[in-house]
Amino acid sequence: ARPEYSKNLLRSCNNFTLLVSNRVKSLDKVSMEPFTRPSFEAIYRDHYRMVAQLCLGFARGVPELAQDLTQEVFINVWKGLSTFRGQASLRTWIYRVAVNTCLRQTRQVAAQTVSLDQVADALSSPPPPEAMPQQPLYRAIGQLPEADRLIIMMVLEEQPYEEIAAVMGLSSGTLRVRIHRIKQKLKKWLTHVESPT
Amino acid sequence: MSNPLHDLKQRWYQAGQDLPLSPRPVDDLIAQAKKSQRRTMVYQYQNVGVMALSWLAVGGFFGLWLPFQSGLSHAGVGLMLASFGLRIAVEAWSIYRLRRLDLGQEAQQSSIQALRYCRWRQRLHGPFTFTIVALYSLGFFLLTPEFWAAMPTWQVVTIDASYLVGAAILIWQIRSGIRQEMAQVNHLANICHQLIE
Repeated sequence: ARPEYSKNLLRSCNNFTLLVSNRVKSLDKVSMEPFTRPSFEAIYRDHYRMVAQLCLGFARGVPELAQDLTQEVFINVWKGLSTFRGQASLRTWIYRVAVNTCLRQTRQVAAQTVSLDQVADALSSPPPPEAMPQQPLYRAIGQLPEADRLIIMMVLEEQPYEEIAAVMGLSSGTLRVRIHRIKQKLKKWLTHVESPT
Repeated sequence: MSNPLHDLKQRWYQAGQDLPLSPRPVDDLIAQAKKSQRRTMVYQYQNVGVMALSWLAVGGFFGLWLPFQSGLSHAGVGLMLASFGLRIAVEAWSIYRLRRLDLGQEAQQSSIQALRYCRWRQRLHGPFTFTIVALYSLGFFLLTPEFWAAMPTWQVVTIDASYLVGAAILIWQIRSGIRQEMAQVNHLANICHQLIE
């Protein structure tokens, strides 16, 4: 029994040593690839269209609100850039900042706090069709609850579902069910708006 | 048979090409971001700074310029300075908590964090601040016997009455602040509900 016990102990010690040395090697790999923070100018140039369209969809197609919102998002990106350490991909991180900025937006109107949707409803006078031919799409998206709006816009941007789940903090399963429901609602709304009278 | 999602993606892509929003020059945006950051810091530090200076002024006035003799008056001054000092400390803590809110987190986590912060601010502006005002007022009125001994009655009544007017205005401001906080809490609660369902 004693030699058997010694063999097991030796095997455990070997396994432990192997585990530690693999860990040390992986740490060496990490330390050899330093994180390079991207410049704000590059981020702005590469992601403007994506953020602006997200904000336009969130603001129910109202350009003035969307412009303010887009600016707000990039100001928050600028402020948060020094704390970004590559824990998530840059794109995911920018989406998170954009989504969180949109979701928290409220406005002060006559000493009252109102939602962005209420401001959009008050401001929206439909632009001429030639100015914004896709206005019905933005209006349809604008009918959805705020979180669903952002989810479907990321789907339309062809973001992988895993990335959308990482942005929103939802599980993949929950996200898929939600996306299915959102598509149904959107299809119904667009059919209703665009069907000939 | 057409794929509805494919059609939507095409429309979304086309809408992105026809975006009615033009990007602001990046230097302008950075200048705006710096200004916004400076404005926030000034507002926060100004708030705490003014309160701290007021605390020093009250302490200096009652400690050096108009030192009281009776034990009751000392208790009153102590209560005023302690309650005011506590309010300043909590306000500084509130600024620290605000700075820790991270827009780069997942939307669900970020919204829950923001909601917790707003609910905490609501409690701060509600029961806690009313308690502080009550303790401060009690401390002030504990000085009345010594005022009475040193001044004509009409002066003491004027001082106490003017304090009551000031306190009423302060309470009205606090209530209006609570209403705004409540609207913000309701908005964030709605967002959290959308993300958690």
